[in-house]
Amino acid sequence: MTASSEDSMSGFEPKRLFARGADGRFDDCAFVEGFDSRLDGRSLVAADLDGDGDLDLVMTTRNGPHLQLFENVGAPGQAFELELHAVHGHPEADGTVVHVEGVGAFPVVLNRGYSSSTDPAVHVGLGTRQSARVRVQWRSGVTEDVGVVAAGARVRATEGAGKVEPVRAFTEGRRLPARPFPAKVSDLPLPRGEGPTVVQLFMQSCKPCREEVPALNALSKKGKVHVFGLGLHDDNALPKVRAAMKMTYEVAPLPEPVAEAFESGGGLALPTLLVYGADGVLMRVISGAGNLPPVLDELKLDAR
Amino acid sequence: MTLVLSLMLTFALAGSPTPREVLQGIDQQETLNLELEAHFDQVCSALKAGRHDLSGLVGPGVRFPIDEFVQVPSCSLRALSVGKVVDDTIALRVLWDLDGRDARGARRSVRAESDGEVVREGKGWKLSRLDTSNAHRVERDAPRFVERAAEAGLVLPQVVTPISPAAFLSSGLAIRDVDGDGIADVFVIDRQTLYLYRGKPGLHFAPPVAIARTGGDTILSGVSLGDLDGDGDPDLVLTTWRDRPVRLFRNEHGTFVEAGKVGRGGQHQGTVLSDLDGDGKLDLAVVSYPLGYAIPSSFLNADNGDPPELWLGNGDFTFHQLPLPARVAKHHWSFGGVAADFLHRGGMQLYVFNDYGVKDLYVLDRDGGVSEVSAQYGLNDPGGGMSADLGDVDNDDRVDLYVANMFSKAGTRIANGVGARVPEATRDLVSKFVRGNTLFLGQPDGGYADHAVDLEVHRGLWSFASLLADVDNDSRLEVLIANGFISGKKRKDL
Repeated sequence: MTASSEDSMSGFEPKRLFARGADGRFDDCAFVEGFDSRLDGRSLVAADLDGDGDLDLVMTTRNGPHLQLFENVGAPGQAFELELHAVHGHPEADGTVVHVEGVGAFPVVLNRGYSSSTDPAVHVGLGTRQSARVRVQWRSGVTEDVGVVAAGARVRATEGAGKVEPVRAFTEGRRLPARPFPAKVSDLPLPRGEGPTVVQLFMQSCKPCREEVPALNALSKKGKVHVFGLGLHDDNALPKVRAAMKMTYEVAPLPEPVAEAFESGGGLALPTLLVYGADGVLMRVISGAGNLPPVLDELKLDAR
Repeated sequence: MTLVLSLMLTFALAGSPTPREVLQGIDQQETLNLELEAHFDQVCSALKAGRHDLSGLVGPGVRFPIDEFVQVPSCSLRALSVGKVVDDTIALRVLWDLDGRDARGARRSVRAESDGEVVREGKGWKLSRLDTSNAHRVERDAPRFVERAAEAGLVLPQVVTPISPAAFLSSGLAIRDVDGDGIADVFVIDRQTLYLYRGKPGLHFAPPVAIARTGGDTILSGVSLGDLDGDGDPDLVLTTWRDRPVRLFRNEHGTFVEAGKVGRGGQHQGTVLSDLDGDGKLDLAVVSYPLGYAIPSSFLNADNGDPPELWLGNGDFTFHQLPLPARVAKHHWSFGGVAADFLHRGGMQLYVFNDYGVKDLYVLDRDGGVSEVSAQYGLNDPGGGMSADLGDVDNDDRVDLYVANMFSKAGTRIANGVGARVPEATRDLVSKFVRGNTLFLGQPDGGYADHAVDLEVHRGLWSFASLLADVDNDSRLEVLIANGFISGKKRKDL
């Protein structure tokens, strides 16, 4: 076996986000949590970049675009962040361990992971608790109770002070509104009609999108299945695009929420076909050109 | 090619059978695995294309829970173990994953490690049975993370074409507030340039500023931030792959001025900043990965790399080297390290993760001496070490250690191919190498025990970064892995 510069070796790998379940075992939640890049990952740092009390992710990648930022827009939960200032020893307090009652131990480190350097402050998720008692095991060997620390802020503990001081309160984080999902064909900006429907998500520069147009034209002409197109083009450009792509079926602009509903890893794969049954309910989402006929056969939509 | 050569050297050391016999076994297994992978690719392609009815493609004894999905953008099937061919049938252990959306738009992942069987069909194989009854499921109505680097301004100014063998390993990321405005700033290495993106309110970043550059065939390999002079702000340490000293930059109110160099140079992969000797000043551990200068002397125990350089800080951007005695220095291929009091002695120890072999745990003794004790404490962890992180994974108030290694199709094939052809100890070692990642949980007696497999957190694929972080603030740490070696134009895996 010989390798060329075009070959892949453990390429296009889905990232991993192992979350611990009630039984102590881990399940990979990378896809369901939106950490679903297929780029070649290298360094990875978690940091609260927007000060809203939850950790965002920055990842470098070998191949383009080389940087990915995963903003945390999920349910926030309770948390605090603790900066440490050592009086005896190095002021950044590396080697110190923060013990949070009912949660666990948090080591202070400056480097972690693969070629990554991080803020030595510790981020403590509290779940549903509003606060927790904190003991700091300083590098000097002294263990100090710094009191009960409340969720909702970044605070600082200075060795020997026996308490924490506020640094800043967390801001209100951006929480994305629930995304509308076109579970029914009536959720799309299309003329209503009876019977099964196929909706092509397309753009003109997408070659496979253009290549599947003849088959969709033929399907539309048969009349058993409604065919529509939703294009990543503005309203004014669509008539010209439709003509250039020689579409005989109706088209409309692709609403952003619909495109976002089918994105993975920050992008929408094109072409994508949405297949709705006679009752108007979404049955399949098909990616890639040339894959519609076997699905129509399987669903028997074209044979009615 | 490097892998094959290393394997030959490795098995030559292992005695009989001959390396050629071992490689012949691997070749035979390779052919079979390629046939299986071709079939698995067909199955996944059909599922990703929207087909639910796989009759004709697989046997009736294969029932993926596909009706839970309207879309499956991601599918994977891989053979973890492959039995002997008996009556044109092979028993398999299969790891399978389906990621997709259900009819409500919720994201869902279903996966399991299942027993299965393939039967000969024409020149290939057909999956005839797969017991999917033990599948795990996770589901979210909406994802927690949204990718928005471009929107936030985290975009590199140009895409630099790799120019050296080390370019595919090159990476560097450092995130801290360096200008005291309360917002995190981001440093990124793009092979020959170190960029700073200053954080702005609302998750935006100012256009990047180049902090340092290099040229020719030199690659920047690592960036670290730490307060080298004790003035209250983080300074910057930059390493280079290609015989250049470590570069130091002083933080002057958020701007960075070159303030010194350390060492004579080497194939430096990065640094670990820590007050290793407890004198209140940051020290440097510089690790090296000599790619391009050498090939590993063994796939399983390379000893022709470079030991870490330990530089003790004087608190003024100067450092003096703490030489490692020859009997202590491990000539390994190192990707980095983490520093902590692993041994509960009240001091710091340096854990170095290495490719092609075991990890090292260096201890700075109170008398100024250095020792290496990883095996003594059960932390040597054979494997292709890529990264490590620290945290209390099981919430028992003890710090645990997660180590990223490699879990790849190629590795699994080799382990299957080696089979019974090598001594048991070598076979066990190969199995450990290809297994994936390690989770050392701290024990009540101060020791560590690996629980990665029984907690099912070992298969990070071809891991690079590993990170322990509580991303959902539920008080339990998640384990995140940045992985993927090389994605080429041809998607098929070598």
